[in-house]
Amino acid sequence: MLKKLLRKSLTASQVITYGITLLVGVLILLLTVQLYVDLAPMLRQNSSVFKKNAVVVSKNISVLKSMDKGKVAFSDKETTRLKEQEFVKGIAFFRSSRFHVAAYIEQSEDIPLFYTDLFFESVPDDYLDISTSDWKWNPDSNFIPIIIPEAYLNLYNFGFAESQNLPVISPGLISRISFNLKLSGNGKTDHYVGRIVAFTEKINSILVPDDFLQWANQYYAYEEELRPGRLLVEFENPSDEQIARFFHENNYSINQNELEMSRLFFFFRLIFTAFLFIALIIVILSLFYIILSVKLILERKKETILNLAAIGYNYKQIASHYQRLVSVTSIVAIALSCLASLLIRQQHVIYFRQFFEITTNPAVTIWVSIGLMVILLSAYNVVVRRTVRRNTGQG
Amino acid sequence: MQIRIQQLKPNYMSEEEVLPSDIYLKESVVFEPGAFYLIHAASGKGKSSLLNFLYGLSFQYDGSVRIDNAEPNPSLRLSRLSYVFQDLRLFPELTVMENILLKNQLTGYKTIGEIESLLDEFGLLYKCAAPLSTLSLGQRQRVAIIRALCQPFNFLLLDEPFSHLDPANIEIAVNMLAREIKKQDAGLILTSLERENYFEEMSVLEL
Repeated sequence: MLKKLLRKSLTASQVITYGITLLVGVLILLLTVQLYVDLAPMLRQNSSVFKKNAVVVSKNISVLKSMDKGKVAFSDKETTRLKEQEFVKGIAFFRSSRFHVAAYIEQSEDIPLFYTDLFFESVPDDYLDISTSDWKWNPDSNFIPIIIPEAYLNLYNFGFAESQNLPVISPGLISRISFNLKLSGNGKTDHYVGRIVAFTEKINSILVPDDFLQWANQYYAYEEELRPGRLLVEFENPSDEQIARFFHENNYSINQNELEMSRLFFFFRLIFTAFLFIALIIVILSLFYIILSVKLILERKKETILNLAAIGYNYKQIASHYQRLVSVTSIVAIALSCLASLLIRQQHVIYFRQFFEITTNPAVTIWVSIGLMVILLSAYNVVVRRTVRRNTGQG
Repeated sequence: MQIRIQQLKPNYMSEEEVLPSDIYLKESVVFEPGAFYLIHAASGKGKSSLLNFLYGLSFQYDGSVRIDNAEPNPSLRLSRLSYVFQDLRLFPELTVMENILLKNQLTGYKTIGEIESLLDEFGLLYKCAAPLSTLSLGQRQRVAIIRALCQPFNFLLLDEPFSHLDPANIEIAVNMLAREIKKQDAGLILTSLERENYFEEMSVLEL
């Protein structure tokens, strides 16, 4: 009887419109969130010889700056400001050799006579991800381990060796070749033995252990310490989009590859946020639509509801009639979205697995679905109950 | 169950409008359990308002209404107070039987057979399945009376219940009500424009 009295309240088209809108909104929402969860770890990945999350920062060199070397260096103020940025975990200075360095090899069968002026730089060992036991300087021995950019070897192998008809050298081979080093300055000259122990892609410099350079600078140096022209900056999260913005604003140069991920991640997040926003708007609008429809019906049925209350019906009994249909529709719509989202995810995981490993699981889809169900149902039912209660004068 | 009212006055009426009577603005009026009361007044004096205050449908009054020392509340409507509204409050989209069952479903107080015999008493059994909208006002009034009997109560409130009934039907109604009220050991508060003692031993209160 109550059904007969209150029926023809919500039309089928209203309920179906609500169900479909909610389904579409929730499906977009779930897919977006799941895709984000699946892809984010891949985009955050960062592998390098260097310590993770650390990059080399320098100032851009312009025509004007080339006249004045001081302008290429970082001032104390600039380094302090950099340190204060919240995305910076720590910074380290490059130490440069301030004495004369020459490398040479005496003539042998395979390798030609070779003599070149060199320079050394060093960074704190914390910033290097090199585990080899060779990377150690012993003050008692005359051995100096060296790291050179991989590009140097390539330059020799594919450019110089080719054109000069010289043999090519593999990284393994070069690591076994020792060469002589002549260090001079401050009126002293000493000979050492050097060997390349590792290669780096990240930094264009010839690196030696920091403690060695510190000692050597004191021993051979004849000039005051220069301001650091290059910094090593360690980030909290290298995909933070603030990083690219900050370096761009300050006209600092940063290894482009390092920022590539950051940029990619930034755009990925932008798209993700846009989709999330659209999905939320659809979900919220669908909820508003059904609440508005029900409120309108309650207004139209106000007298019936008042009379039902007068003969002893509780507002909860009356409200439950309007709660049931919409609640069931919401649950079915969200459950269908969840199912569809899981099926679609299964397909995209198969596709993505061709390119990289996916270790995440679809739990987030299920949790978000449950969360949405709880939030939507509570919001709807609270509003309906409150409206009916007001209409019955039992509030 | 005892109903006690004190210093009662509808708050939408001024002091001048509400002349001191047997009820309004009285220090204390008590409706004793099992007793019958006729509230007599001309139109517009606030008879329906009084019953609505007692039933907990309206709270637009000054003073106090206490039912067994508590404020009137909706939960009394299922087992303590029954009410035949002046405007009946039936549902025209339902049939006669559905209108009665809507109430009886809440209480489970009468069987279908009992309801049918009450309808028969009023000569309305043949209208059982007819939509209420096809009934005359007098017929509807009788349906409303039967509906009010489909629950346990301590007091039956009747707001001009016979206004559209002919003397023959009034007699049937009075007999039916007297029987049902006696069965429940209940009291009765009836408002009327006429000062007529429908039931034996009725106290008359002027409003």
